[in-house]
Amino acid sequence: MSRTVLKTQQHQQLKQEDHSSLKGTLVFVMFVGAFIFVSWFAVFYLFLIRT
Amino acid sequence: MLQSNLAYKLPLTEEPAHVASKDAKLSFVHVVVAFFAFLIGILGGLLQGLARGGIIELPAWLGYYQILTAHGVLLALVFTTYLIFGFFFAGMSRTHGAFSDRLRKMGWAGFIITTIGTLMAASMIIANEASVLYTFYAPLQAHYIFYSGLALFVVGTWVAGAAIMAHYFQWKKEHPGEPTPLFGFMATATLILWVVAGLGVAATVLGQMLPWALGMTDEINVLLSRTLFWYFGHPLVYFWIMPAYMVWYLVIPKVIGGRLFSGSLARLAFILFLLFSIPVGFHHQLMEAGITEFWKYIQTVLTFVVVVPSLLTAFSIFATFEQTGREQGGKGLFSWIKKLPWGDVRFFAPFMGMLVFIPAGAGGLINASFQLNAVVHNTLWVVGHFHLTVGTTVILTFFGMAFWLIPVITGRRLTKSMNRSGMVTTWLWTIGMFLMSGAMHILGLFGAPRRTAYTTYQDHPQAMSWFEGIFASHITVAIGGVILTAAGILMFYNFIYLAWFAPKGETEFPMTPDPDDTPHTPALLENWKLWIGIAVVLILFAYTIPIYDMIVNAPPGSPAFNNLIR
Amino acid sequence: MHLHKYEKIWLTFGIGSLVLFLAVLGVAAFAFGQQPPSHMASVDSQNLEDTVFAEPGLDQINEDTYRARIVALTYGYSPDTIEIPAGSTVIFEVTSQDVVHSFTIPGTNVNMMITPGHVNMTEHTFTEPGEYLVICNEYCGTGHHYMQMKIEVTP
Repeated sequence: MSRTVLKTQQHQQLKQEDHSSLKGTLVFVMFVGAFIFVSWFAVFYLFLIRT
Repeated sequence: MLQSNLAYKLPLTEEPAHVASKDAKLSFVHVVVAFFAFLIGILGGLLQGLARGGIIELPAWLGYYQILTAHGVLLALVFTTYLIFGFFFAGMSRTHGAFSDRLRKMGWAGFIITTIGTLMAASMIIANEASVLYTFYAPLQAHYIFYSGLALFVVGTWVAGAAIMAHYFQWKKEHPGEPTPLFGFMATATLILWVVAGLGVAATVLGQMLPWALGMTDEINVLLSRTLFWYFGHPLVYFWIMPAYMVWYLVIPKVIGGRLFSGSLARLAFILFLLFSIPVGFHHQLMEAGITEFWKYIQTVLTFVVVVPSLLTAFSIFATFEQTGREQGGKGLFSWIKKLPWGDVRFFAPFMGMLVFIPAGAGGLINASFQLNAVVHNTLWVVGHFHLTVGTTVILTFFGMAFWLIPVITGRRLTKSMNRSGMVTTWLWTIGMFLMSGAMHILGLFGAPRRTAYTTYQDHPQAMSWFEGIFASHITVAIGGVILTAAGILMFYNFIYLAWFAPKGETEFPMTPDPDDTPHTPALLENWKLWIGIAVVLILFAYTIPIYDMIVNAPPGSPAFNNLIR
Repeated sequence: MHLHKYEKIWLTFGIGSLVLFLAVLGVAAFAFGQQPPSHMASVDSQNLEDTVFAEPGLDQINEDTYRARIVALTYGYSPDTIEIPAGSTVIFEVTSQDVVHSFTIPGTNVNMMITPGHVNMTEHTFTEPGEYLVICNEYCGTGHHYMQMKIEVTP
């Protein structure tokens, strides 16, 4: 029991510094966003030159 | 927000929850049907790829469009639906306790009705009386037994779905004021979506196609039937995706030794799917006459809204990975990635599915982009697209799931060698799909049509070029198809082994501990009446005027064309 | 409900992109007329001989604009060839006499569904001479893959 409580506390400490600890996630999702952005405009360009 | 004083609600240790054995049996029969349908479906896919590439010629008794119908129905409808219900029955038993005898009987009734429907539809496809593809667009007409089978299939899933939802609401009633377990919440959102969407296909099959196929009516309103089909057809893809998301949200965090990042955001994502994945069917009909630009644009906007819950999901899932990796000692911007269990198929297969969802999602946005749809509509691009979404993201997630779900419900163990076999399956599937879907996307941009047997259009240079590209070629598609078939057969072997031959033992049904924010779940999110009400309002808004117009200003209907499909 | 700071950044970017896409599409469509084919006229598909589609073919509207009235059928188009000089703009008005087809010129934005009972419409300017392939990309029966016609664009 006490060990699990300790674990939960550690867990919470980590949560408190969460602004720095999700940097990898931000980089990753922004990469996803950039990919979507570029592919969308690539096909839009294709549409324009085929008109 | 500081997460203080929350520990009291969080399960401190994993309770030894399991799937009740009677529920396990119900789950198991669903999984068995799913994988047998899968095997036949992928063999159909192999023949198509080879025939379309001009590598083999089909025997006279086997039509290309007949196989294409079987491939679509067996994989997109039968395999997915059965596996989803198998997952739901086991998961509900695990998280909400055993089903009552009454509800379990209802589940069995649903299974039997669905299976009778499946066999009726399948027999007509085998008899070449229903080569209308899995979208069965009128006025091509299949045998009435095919339509009756489809209707029974849908009704059977409603009965089984009602059993699952009743089990969830029973729990909710017995625990007033508590946030409901995430598994039940998400399964219920998925099933409500399925029932509401199914009304569209039920309306066209029972109200239009069956009377017409039985000769009770002479003509059919083609545009209305297409519209009702796509009212169902788009939420259908979310019916595949949402259970895959449930694996990502609820199972994967446990497999990697962590805990879901946020429960409220997970619930919010599922509510948004429920609200916005139905009033969007026109984005499949952007190129057709009889629907005004205005209503097409409205539904395009609503389609873009349904991207938002996927944006939320992308963040939540990777935040869960990062948080877990850091808790296990990972440092720096990316080195926490090394802490993830890359050798565990229960993680790795769904992870590859997630990666594939990036190009799949980007492609989906392009498809739905109003006039941009002209570039890709009904080309091989679209086929490439949904072989990424349902054919890779969903399927790889379900593969990963099979490696724990089957041992859980058969009382067996996942062995090391089976895990390795699963890793090989995952790699083969990914590589095969890269070749097949990649080539399909590019061929589609060049204009190569979908759903078309081998043809060179009298050796027209443009059509010939679709066979001659280095990568963008029907030959690449066929090679990818062969690799995928190898992966599929291996997966079928994995299934057989796990179901009947793996060593007996206890296997964990991985389920994330409740997220830290569980006690703060906004009660509003659990207000089903409200969400169903809003969903109905959105549907009425997006569809009432165009459908009224289709009925009131309908051109003379179309007679039956049943000689063209044989 | 708590949103992490980075999640706010991500959602702002993501939703912002969606709004931008919709704005670009909306402006191109409603201000510059690049609409998806959505013609609202209807016909009786079983009695096309009583309609303007009784004699499908090409009409010259002015110096470089033509109207092509075309009937899609299993498995072909009527007429099966049209010829125009390069630089011409062709307004295609297409309907079906039987099942659902499409009228698609690969490599261009001409790609529309042809549902029986409806007339669909789009236009295209053919700047390059050559033989353009027109195909049906909606399954219409066992001979679907043979369905095609030609547009000859002469220099």
